[in-house]
Amino acid sequence: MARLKVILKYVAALAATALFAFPLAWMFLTSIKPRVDVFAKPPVFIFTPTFENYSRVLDSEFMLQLLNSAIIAGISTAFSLTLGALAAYGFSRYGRFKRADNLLFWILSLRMLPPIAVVVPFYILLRWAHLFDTRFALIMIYSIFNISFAVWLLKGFFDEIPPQLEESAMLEGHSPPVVFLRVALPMVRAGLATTAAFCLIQSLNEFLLALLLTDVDAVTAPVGLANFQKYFGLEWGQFAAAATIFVVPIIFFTILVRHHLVRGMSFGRMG
Amino acid sequence: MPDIELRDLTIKYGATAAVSGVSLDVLDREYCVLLGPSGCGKTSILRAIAGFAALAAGAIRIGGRDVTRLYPGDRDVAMIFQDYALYPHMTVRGNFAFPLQAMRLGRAEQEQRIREVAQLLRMEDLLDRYPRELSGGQQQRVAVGRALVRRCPVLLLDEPLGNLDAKLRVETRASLKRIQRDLAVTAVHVTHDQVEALALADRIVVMEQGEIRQIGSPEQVYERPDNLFVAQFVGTPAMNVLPCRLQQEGERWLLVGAGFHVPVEHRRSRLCSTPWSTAAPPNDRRAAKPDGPPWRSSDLATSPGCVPPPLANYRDRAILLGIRAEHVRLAPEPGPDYFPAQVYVTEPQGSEVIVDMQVGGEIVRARGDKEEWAFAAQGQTEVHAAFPFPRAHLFDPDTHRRIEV
Repeated sequence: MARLKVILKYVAALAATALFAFPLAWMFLTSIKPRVDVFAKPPVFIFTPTFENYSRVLDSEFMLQLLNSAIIAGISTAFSLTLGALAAYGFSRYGRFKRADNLLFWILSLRMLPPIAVVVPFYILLRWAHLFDTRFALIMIYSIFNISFAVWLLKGFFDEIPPQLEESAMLEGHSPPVVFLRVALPMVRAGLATTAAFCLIQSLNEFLLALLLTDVDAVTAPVGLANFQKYFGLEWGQFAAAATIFVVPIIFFTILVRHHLVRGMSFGRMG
Repeated sequence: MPDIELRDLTIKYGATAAVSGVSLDVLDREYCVLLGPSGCGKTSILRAIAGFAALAAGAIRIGGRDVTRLYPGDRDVAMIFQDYALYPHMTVRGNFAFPLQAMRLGRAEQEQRIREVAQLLRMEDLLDRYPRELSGGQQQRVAVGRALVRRCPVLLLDEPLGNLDAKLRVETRASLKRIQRDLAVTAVHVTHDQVEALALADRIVVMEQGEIRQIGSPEQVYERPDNLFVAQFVGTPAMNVLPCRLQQEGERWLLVGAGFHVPVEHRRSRLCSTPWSTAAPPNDRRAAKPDGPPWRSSDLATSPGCVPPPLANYRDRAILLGIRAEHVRLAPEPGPDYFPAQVYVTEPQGSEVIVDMQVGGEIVRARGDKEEWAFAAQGQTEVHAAFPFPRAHLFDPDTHRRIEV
C-alpha cells in the first residue's frame, strides 16, 4: 500500500509538471517550426527545425528591449536589496518604538496598490519631470514595489538571528555598521537570495507600467513581446523565439535558487 | 581598589524592575558568582556590566573608570554567552581573529595571539573547522578562547556551563577556574546552579527578585545563610525547614516541633542571658575562659536554665528550624534526644544514601554514609533521628532572617 501511495504521488507530480511545462514546450517548438507548420492542423510534432526565427529576432529591436529589461530588473533589484536590508535590519533591531507596526504596515500597503490605480499619476509625474520613457523611471517605480516586499521578507530573516551574536561582536569592539555588514548580513544570505529572486522575477515580468510609461527607448521585453502583434497580424514564429530567449535565463535562475525560494515562501513557519 | 563597582543599579523592563537598587563591589582578580533562580535579575546585572541593558538608575565603574554610558566595545570587557554565540559563518580561526580585527592588531600579532589561545585550550588542530562541525564541548572552548583572545581584565560568564553534559561540566568548571587564576582576570559568573557556584566562587552573591540576599564566601553562604531563602537555595538536597517553638522544660530549653525536639546548647555559658534564666547563674569553669574560636566543640554544652541571648526574645514563640540533610543523625535504636521517624524512600548515591522520612507531619531528608545507615537502606521503616543543635539554623518566622546563636 505504501508503495502504491508513493507511485501515485509521483504520477500526480509528473502530471502536474507536464501540465505546467506544456506551454513552455509548445512555445519552444513553435519557435523552431517553419512558417507553414505553425498553423498546421492537426498540429505536427515532426518537422525540419529552422532557426530562421531566431536570426530575425536577434537582428530586431527586441535585443535592445531585452537589455533594457536586464538593466532595469538588475539595478532595481540591487537597489531594493540594499535599502530593504537596511530598513529590515532597523525594524528588526530597533523596531520597538511606538507605532513601529503601523510604519511596517504602511510599507506593506505600498504593495497593495493596483498598478492601474497609479499609472496615470505616474505618467503625469514623469512627463513633468522629463523622465518619461527612461530606464531610470522604471527602476525607481519597480524599486518602490520591491523595497516593501524586501523589507518584510528580510525582516523575518533578521529576526531569526540570535541577538547574542551581535552583542558579542559589539562587546568585541566592532561598531554597529561593522556588526551589520560582517555578522548580520552573512547570516541572512539565504534571505538575500530569496528576496533577489522574487524582485528579479517581479521586475522582469511587469507589463502594465512598462507599457504605459515607455515609448521607444526604455521599452522592456514583455512590452516588446506584445509589440510583435503588428497591424498585419502576429509573427508567431518570431514571437515564440523572442519569448524563449526571454524565458530561458529566468528558468535557469529559478532552478539555481529554488531551495531558497521554497524556504522564502514558507518563511515564518521555520523552526 | 574594587575592580567593578555597581552603585544602586536599577533595571526595568516595562513597569517591572528586574533589578532594584543593587550595589556590589567585585574585587580585582576575584571570581564572583551571581547565584539565583531564573528571573532573579542576575543576568540583567551581567548584561548591564557589558552594556547591553539600559539602566533606569545607578552607575557602573570598572577599574575606577565610569563606564555607565560607554558603548559595550569601549568597556574592555569580554563575555562568554550561554549559547556560545559563535559566528557560524566563520571558522574557529575566524572566530578568534574577529575580536582582534576590531583592535586593529597587525597580522603577526593576531597570529601569535590565536596560537596562544589555541594552545591554552588545546584546539590547534580544530582551527579550520566551522562551529557546526564541533561538539558541544569544543564549541564551548571556542567561546572561552574568543573571550580570552583580547586579554581583557574583566571576564563575564553567562551560564557558560549550562549546555554541557554533567561530566563535561565538572571538567570545564575546573579549567575555567584554572584559567581565571592563571590569567589573573576578574570574573563575574552567572548561574542558577549552586553546586557550580560553591565550586568556583571566591565570593557568592545570592539574588532573589532583583535584590541581593547575601554576599559571602561559599563557606559563609553554606554554613551561615543570612536568611531562609539563601538557606534553602544553596545545598542539595535543599535544607529541611521545620516550624517549632522555644520552650522551657525543667532545666532545659528545647525547640519543640511536631514530632521532634532539639535541646538548645550554646557556646559559652557566660553569654547566658540571665534575665530569662530561672536557675542560678551556672557555675561553670569554662565561663572564665577567654574568647576562643567560636565553634570549638569543647565549648558546646547544654547549660541548665539558660538560652543564648538572641533566642531570649523568642521564648514561647515560633521559630523556623533549618537542618541540612547531611547533618541529620539517624540511629536504629532510640537514644536521648532522638525521636522516631518513618522512612519513605532511600536513594543510594554511590557511597552515600539519601533517606526521605516523615517526622511529625513533615518530610525530612537526611544524607549519610551508606554503610553506617545500612539499617535504613535495608527496609527498616521505624528509625530514630536527631537534629544536633550546633548544626541547626534558626530563622525568624516573620522576617525569615537568620537568628545568630
